[in-house]
Amino acid sequence: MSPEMIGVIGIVALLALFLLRVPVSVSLIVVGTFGLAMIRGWNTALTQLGTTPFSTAASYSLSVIPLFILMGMFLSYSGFGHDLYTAVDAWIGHIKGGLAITTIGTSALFSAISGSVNATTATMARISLPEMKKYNYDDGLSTSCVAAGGTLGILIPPSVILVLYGILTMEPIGQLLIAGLVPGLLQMALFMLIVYVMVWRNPELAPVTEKKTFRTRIKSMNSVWPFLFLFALSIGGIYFGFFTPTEAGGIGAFGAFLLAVLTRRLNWADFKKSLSETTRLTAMIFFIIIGADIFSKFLALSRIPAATTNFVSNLEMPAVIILIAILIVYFILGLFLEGIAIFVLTLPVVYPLITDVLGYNGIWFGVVMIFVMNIGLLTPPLGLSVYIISGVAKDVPIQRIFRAVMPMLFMMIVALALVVIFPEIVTFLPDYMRQ
Amino acid sequence: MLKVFTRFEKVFNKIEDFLQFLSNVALIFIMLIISIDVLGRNFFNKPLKGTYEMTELVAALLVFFALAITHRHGDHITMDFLVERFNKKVQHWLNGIIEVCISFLLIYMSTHIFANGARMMERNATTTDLSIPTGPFLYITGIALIIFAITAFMKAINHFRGAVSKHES
Repeated sequence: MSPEMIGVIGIVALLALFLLRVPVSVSLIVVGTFGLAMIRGWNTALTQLGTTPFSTAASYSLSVIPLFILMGMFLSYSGFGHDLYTAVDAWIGHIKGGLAITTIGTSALFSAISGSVNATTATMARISLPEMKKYNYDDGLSTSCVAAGGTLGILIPPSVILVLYGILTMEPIGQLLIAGLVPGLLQMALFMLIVYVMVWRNPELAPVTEKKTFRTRIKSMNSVWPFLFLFALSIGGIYFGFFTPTEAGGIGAFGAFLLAVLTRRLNWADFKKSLSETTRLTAMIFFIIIGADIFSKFLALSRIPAATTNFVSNLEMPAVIILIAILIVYFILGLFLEGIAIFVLTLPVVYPLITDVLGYNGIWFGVVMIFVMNIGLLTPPLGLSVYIISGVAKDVPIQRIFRAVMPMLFMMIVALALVVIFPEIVTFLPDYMRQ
Repeated sequence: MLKVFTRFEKVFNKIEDFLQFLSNVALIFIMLIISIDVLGRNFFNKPLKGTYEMTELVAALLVFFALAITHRHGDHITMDFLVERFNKKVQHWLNGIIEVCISFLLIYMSTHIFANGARMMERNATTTDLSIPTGPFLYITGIALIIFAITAFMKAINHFRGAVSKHES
């Protein structure tokens, strides 16, 4: 059997294992090992199985993942999310659709620190939904804002998923983290804009709330500075080259810990929970990376990436058409597969195609993939963010939330189109860093 | 028999919890040494020697110590939407068989990691700055994988119990 054929069978087997509810990490290890054995013999395969797990986990640059997650956990458990919401509300809560816009703005800030869609969505749902309900906001509008706001978490730095992309593609992690900033802010502005337009057209969606006094506004800022400080310290440090991303993570986590303890917001039980949730999330992600490492070695030996690259470079089609075709495939995959699974399954084949054949910037493509994955977070049947919200807002039917996020999805597609048409939105900050 | 299993499960859960504790300690350790290194380098011109390699070795411990409890909590990512449509008994059988396969894979993996550890010990492989031997770390990794395998096996037994139980349909 030709290596290419073995590669195709491997991919089909991998999808079958995913569907049988075998953990993504284990599926990758099994298929990768068998595939390597078929192509290079059992000796090579078993050597990989004995060396890859430790050498992958014992990585300095990968340590950035638990550190940034820990920073988010400390802040999340310390209740800083609520303070942040109050502060943003004091400044912009009174404008049309103010609380909804506040939710999006707070999600952006909160996710900047937490780096996780699930954590941001769950926290913001608990904080903002009762508040919007109190002011008779439309259920659909309020839940869709939380869903949309949460997706900003994997764009605005530090994004754990972009770190993962960097590890899988060898793109520089620091530049990748910075690259998500402007597109994240753009997406945030577009979400706010659509809320404003919707409420302007139908004021009943969001009754007006009272304007806060200047004194209240200033007072509310007291609780925001820790966020701004930690963000400036860790992300600013990476941007100006003071720290490596791992060092920024370490300092960020330690800073968050000190803040939480000094302000007496973190009790012993929550401290333990922050650590345990972080280590479990890390173990899950690292085990996938170990699997992805073995699987991508197999895929490279199967010559499928090279064959695909050859095939596409012989197509006489403009690069942008091929790119759009690839994005459509990603969109379809995103409807059924978890984002991380899509990354590990497709990047070994698609990344060389995008950078070597089509000539696109690898960092830019990472951000584009995040946009496409985010769309999958809000669409059925998977729609993870929507399920998280429906777990909190039990009185809102899930179909209603799926319907309500449509305008947000539209804005996500607009943002994606803007990023594809004007790649500089993504690349100009990392380019400055390089200089 | 059931009593013995339940008692074993209780004791074993304690072992998993202890590994979680060690993993948490590893995380704090990494956070602290990196912070000390950065602060030392920037303010006292005195970086912490060996931070890079200590972070690497301890990060591996962090991951492998937490694998078993992550599996116990069902935190490893799976695609549920197809299997969820099967009836409960079929789900239990399927999950049970998958868990048995996972535990065999992990045992197999750990034997090869032990072999790799033995090679490292023979070669007296150490880290560059602090000359920490790397072989023992591989052995610890292998042991953590065996504990992960036992977690998977116990999940399998619980699934099979669910599959033959009269209350499940």
